[in-house]
Amino acid sequence: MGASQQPKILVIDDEPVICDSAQRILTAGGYTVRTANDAEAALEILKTDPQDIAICDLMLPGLSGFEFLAASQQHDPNLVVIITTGYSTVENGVDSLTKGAFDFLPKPFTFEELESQVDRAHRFAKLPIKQRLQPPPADFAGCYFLGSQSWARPDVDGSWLLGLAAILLQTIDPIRNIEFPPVDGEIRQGGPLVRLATADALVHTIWSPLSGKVLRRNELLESAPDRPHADPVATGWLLRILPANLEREVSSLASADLQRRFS
Amino acid sequence: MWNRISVKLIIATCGVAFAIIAIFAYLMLEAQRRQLLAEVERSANQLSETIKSSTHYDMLLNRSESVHRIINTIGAQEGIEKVRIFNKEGEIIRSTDPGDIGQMVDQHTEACDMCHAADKPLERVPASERTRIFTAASGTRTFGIINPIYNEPSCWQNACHAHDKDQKVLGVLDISMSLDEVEHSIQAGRMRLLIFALIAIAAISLIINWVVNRIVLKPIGEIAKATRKVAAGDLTHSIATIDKNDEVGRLATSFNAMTERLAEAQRQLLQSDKLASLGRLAAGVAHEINNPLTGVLTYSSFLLKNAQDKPELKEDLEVVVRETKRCREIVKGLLDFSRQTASTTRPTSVNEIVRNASRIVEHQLSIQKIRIEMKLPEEAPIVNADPMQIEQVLVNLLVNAADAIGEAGGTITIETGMVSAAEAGSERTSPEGMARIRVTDTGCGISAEGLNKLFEPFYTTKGAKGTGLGLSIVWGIIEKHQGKIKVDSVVGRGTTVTVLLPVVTR
Repeated sequence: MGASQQPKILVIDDEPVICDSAQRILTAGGYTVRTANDAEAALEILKTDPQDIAICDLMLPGLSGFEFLAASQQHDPNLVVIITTGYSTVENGVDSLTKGAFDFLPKPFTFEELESQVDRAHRFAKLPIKQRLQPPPADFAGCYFLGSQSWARPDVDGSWLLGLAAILLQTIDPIRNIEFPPVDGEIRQGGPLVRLATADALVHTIWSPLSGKVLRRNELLESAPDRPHADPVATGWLLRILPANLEREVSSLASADLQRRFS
Repeated sequence: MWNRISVKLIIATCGVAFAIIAIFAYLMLEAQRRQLLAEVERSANQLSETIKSSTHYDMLLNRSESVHRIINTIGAQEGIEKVRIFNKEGEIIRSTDPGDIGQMVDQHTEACDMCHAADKPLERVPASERTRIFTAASGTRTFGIINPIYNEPSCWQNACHAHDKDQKVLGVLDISMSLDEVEHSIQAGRMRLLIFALIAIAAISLIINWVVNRIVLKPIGEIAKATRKVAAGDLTHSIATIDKNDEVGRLATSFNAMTERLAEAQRQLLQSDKLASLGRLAAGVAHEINNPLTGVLTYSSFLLKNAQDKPELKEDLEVVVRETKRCREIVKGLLDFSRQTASTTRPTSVNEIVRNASRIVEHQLSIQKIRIEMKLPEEAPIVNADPMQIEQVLVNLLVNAADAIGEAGGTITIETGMVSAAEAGSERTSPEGMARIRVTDTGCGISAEGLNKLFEPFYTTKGAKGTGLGLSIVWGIIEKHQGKIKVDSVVGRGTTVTVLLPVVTR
């Protein structure tokens, strides 16, 4: 992708209205957009016209979204894939992120949600491939990752700390505000963990690596919301939780964040 | 007919009774016969002694006319067939039957054979061996007794010198007596016993028939009728009119318990079936609706962003975006409802779950002037549960209770405890019983009609405030935990929700 060229996005959905709206919005945002109604057509396009980002529906006629994900990773490891689905269960979310999707976009989504995910995907696509393949920095020792989204790390008392993954921090502007779930409330693996409002006026929804009960938020972040950029784990963690389904959920997490696993 | 229990029982009992009566009758008749024969023997013996002694003097004087008269007189008595006197050579010298006189009797006829069986005749024979029973020429059963006339000094010292001094036996007196009377008497006894046996068997049959009908067949008929009704699908039928103390009563009781459980299991099955198909429907609908909703939401939010400088357009678009987001939340609720998340259970204190749940709603309730009263025993039951989900159940129940109480204020009582396996009345209970959590409110109560629909998806009394999925989800969670949930309510007085969960088996 040359600097002068517009970033290229391929939208794959069997619903014309989705393709149309995405094309309209993203074209207005300065992207070059192509659409495909099934995964086979999308793979054909990729052969002749390499793309930067693909936004792919899970339930497609013929090859499914997951199959497209696997095929496209083989064909072009640089392609950044966002999975979207109308059947937006947390299982589908977790599966997408652990199978190598960059992000998960449950339908129906707003313009802002699409915009912020595509923005992050674009920044990620711009990262030199070398940087993508580096192991996570030493700060993240002992962390389990949900894709490029978030990490979870056991603490001494049996509670777990949750925070933001390294790649995620590399793809967002300085954090201005963090919207937390309520203390004593519940969060779910693959469900929303926090919403980050960044300096570029985007709001990023981050998916949680574990289910559990929220015990505490990191109060330090109220006065210094951008702390994770400086110290992502030790002082920049987000929530302390009591996991509800630890054994099963941890097994779906990885010891490194997205892309680096493929090295 | 032959297969009926009462008939089989009657045949068996009567067979046994008949055998007992037959043995008893045989022994009794045999004893009677022996006694009667002994009587005949005694009187015959006595008679023969009487004849011997009363003819003794006439014999000595050789007055045969007189002897003959005495024999005839005695022989004419009822029951005496014949009185005969043989001499040593076997010639009948005196008889009540004039035709016999002068005839010779063979030594091997039944009267003589007793002594003459051996070559040398016996001289002394004991009384018991002098009797015989035979069928006379006339066909009547006859009892005979012989009485040997022994030589005595007066016989050979007499002037006539008819007998030699060396003779031991001079002749034999033979009396035959008819046994007709004895036979008649035994026959009559046999008849009486036969009639008695028939009456006894008839009586036994009637009594057994009555008893079997009364205590076995009628109740079993009731049970059979109930079984047919249950087989036909009527699980509300129960057997009412049976004495509970015998085996049949216990059978009826357990039959009733069985149908009750069946009915409950069927209700549960129907409910889970309904929930499962509604879940699938919800998931399908959610998926289908999400696509067009995406079109609406992306375009409207995109337009809204571009309309920041057009206040009148902005306001309208904000409504579209807000309402579409609301649709999104409703669809998300549907998907959550249909979702089957595998939960991990761990031993958890019921009291801890209750405390956590009430802490979550505490603030909200205090605003509504609702007091929470907790009655938690020191030793809390431990259940194998996903604490998050049970907490969700309790929060849901507490919010419902608070809504039922409304603005006026009131009390919600939360109790925990144990119920025994029998009390729980569920096939799911562990032997130790089940843990009980009871939430009672002083709210408006639920009508009977409402109680029936309570756990149905989309049933709500909260209007736009609720989705009608809360209690369906509660039901699903309790179902997954192998528990039970029951709601009792009196309109105007309040509602009690009872949740039973299997305790940890130690």
